[in-house]
Amino acid sequence: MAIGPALILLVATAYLPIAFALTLGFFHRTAFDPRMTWAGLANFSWLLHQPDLWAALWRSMVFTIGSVVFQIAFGLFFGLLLNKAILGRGLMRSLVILPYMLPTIVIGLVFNWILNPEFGVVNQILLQLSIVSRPAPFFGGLHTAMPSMILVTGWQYGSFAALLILARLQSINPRLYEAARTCGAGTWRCFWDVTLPNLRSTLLLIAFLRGIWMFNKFDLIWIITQGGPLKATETLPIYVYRIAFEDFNFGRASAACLLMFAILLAVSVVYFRYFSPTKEIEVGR
Amino acid sequence: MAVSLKLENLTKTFSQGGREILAVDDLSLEIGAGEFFTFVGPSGCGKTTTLRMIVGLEAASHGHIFFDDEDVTHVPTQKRDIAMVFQDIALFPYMSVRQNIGYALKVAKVAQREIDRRVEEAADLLSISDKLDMKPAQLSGGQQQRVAIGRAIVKEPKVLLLDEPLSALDARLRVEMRSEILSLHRRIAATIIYVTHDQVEAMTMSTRLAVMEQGRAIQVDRPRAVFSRPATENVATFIGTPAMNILEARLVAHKEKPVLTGAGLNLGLSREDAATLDTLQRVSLGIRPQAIRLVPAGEGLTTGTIRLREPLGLEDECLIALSDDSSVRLVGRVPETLAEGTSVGITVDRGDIYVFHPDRGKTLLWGLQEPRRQSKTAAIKPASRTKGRA
Amino acid sequence: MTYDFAKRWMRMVTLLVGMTFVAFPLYWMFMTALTPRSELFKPPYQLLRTSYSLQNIEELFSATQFLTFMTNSLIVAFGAVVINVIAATLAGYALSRFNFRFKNLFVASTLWTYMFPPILLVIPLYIIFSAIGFRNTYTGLILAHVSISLPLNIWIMWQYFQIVPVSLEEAAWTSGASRLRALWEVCLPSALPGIISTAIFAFALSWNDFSFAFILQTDTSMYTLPVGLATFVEQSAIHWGLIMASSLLVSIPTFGLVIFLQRYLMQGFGLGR
Repeated sequence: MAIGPALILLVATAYLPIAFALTLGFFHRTAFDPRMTWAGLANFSWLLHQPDLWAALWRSMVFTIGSVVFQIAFGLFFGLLLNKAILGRGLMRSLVILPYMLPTIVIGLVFNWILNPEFGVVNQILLQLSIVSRPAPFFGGLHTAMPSMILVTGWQYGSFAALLILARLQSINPRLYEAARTCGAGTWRCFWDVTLPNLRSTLLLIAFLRGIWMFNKFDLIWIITQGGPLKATETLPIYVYRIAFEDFNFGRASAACLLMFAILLAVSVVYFRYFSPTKEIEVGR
Repeated sequence: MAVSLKLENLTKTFSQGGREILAVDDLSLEIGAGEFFTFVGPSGCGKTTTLRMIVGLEAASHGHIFFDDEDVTHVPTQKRDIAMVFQDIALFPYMSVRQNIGYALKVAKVAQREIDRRVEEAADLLSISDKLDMKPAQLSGGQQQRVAIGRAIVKEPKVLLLDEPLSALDARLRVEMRSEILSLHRRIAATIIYVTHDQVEAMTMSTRLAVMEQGRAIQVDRPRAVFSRPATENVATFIGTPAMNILEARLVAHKEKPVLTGAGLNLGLSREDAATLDTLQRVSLGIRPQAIRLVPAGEGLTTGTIRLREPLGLEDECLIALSDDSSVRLVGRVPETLAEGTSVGITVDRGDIYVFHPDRGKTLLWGLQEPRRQSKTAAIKPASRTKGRA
Repeated sequence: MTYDFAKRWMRMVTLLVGMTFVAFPLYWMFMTALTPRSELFKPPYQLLRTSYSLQNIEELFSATQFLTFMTNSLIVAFGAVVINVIAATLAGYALSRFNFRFKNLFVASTLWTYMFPPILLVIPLYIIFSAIGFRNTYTGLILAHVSISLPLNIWIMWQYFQIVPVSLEEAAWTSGASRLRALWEVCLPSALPGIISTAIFAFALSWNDFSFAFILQTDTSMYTLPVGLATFVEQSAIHWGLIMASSLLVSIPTFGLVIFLQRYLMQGFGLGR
């Protein structure tokens, strides 16, 4: 049947590995010892006793929430501004998607370069404008690494939010604004009473999708800081990577992944139950 | 190349949400070669499903379909050598008109030169020769429908099926296309099977028609026969515009003579008619609007008041209120002097009165006979009818 | 100046400021790529250059393994696109035309796989691929990429096929065409935008992927561009000019896709045009 190829592919490349991964957490399995011996909950209890795990979890939370907030802010900024017809709007719209379409590697390298304490142009500008007296460490500083990382993902994915928000804004009936205005609403009230309620479901969807994506983000962080400096940016995905490919303990790494997945699942359930965003992802026409 | 069809116990059930829906119920009928046969009925009566089974787009749950003695029930659509015109026209949007019409020939691997010749012939027949190199989106609805017809006839199919092809067109176009389809039938001599919910189309175009209701063919006959001898009340009211008037009547014995009374009418019955009605106490009477004539108040079968008068041109359609709160419509030439509110008399030839079973709707009498003896106190009969009767 | 005029100007200015934020990193990448090596080690840099040099790009092709990386990326991306388009089209068609028992389950599962963290998928893939010898191969990486792009592509194609009326195919069948032929000649042209979206999405995901390529390909000669570029930073012989030049080149396919196929992308996001 027509669906055959797709089904086989998905089963082979996604479902089976996922099933495998889900079970792997319950076994001892390392690269050195290919036998799989039942471990029960040993991996999980080991994990939960690791302060590194909790630290990574905390950093993941910070990173996820920070990124999502920043991306939504970015999205609102551009979405609202681009909503009104302005000269060169089409061009700007294309420009706004570019960050989303760039390979993560490029973004990592570029920001590494421009935020470089020694050669980075941003520091150069900051020094010239006397905003700072010494070059800012950005990715090298213990307290600046995470914010810098959030900034970068904001830049990369903010455009996704901007596009969705823009699409939604353009579908709001202009009559609503006219009605509000005749009732005496000023700009702020219009925004609060007309724009935001309509945007609500879109914003929630963005928060949800991006939240999951940021929680699972591995590549960008690895490319720029590898989790450093001194684990300042070691989020859960990085932590899992270390266990799997530096300690080579696949069993424990899978257990950690299971924990991640469980957290996401819990969040999804809450999200769907309380926010009912199915309107946006409805497929049936 | 025309072909005869036979449907034998054709049945189709759908399961929807756990329930079984019987769309076509044990349908058996024969269609002669070269006939223009129409399935007509209200929405949901099963006519489209029947058509789709004949085409092969739906598989029959039970029963058989024969094309000229060949059982095609399990033959796939592609091999049945039929052609279909769809309700939503369904022209291939990315092909030109020429390519659309010639598609079936291309699939059949006919030589290109032959394809071109036949496409041009079909286009000529349908007066769309100048549109051959355009895309469907550039044509109007009527032109698109003609292209669809062209696509169907170009391969000279055994059976040509049309599924409510005119429903997407506006009223004037519909009338035009009706006569075009009729002349098409004469020219290409194929067996045509037509599905519509519009009884006017069915009546004007068909050789024979089948009135369908809830998956069954209630009556299969020539249009005139269906009109004048409907099998049930439903058929009678469905066919004919405006719809037949239905009045309630009771059967009472008046001085030992059976009489139908209702709506101010008192109709004596002949012995045979009374026997047919047997023990029924209530019946429905049916009178076509075209059969009613106006006479001065006090004369005729009963009296009523003109409630509404709608001019139709030469004729008028009038709504007449009768004594028992029921009303009838009539269509005919009405003197202008009769305004709304006037009292008038109604008269109908007895032969134009139908009697239906009150519950099951079956037609019991097609026209009333004269009662054997004239009874002084019984019917108020129209004056002309009393001549020559003792 | 009217209030309206002032507001419009304010809006424009704010937008320009925002645009600078968006565009600046790209601008700087472009500039650095064209800065010859000699100037790179002498900060501070000019913000607006007057002289340009293609030296970096030449050096990239001659002195590094950039070409190898690029070839690998192209092969893998091409494979991912082909598989995605065929599988997603067939699946989308089946979903839109048939009703089968596990349909809802299938649809829900595609949604869930999309949400699944790639990092979670990588570990079992690594183990399985090692066992069957798919590690460090084109096939392995292509399959890995397919696993993350196929679910969404099935959705996209399903959407597009839902718009194509069944009566078009029925018209083709009554004209004698087989089901497959009707699909090819009648359905697909109408669903073409969907196919293009699918191809773009599959390409972008594969071309840009770092995580899978990083973990699954261990041999330098099998590195794709993202992984290869990541190693550039650690090599002292490779200066930032080369890195930026390589970044620029790697970005070109996606730039091109955005510019030329903006229409389809916008449609995908519901902006229409």
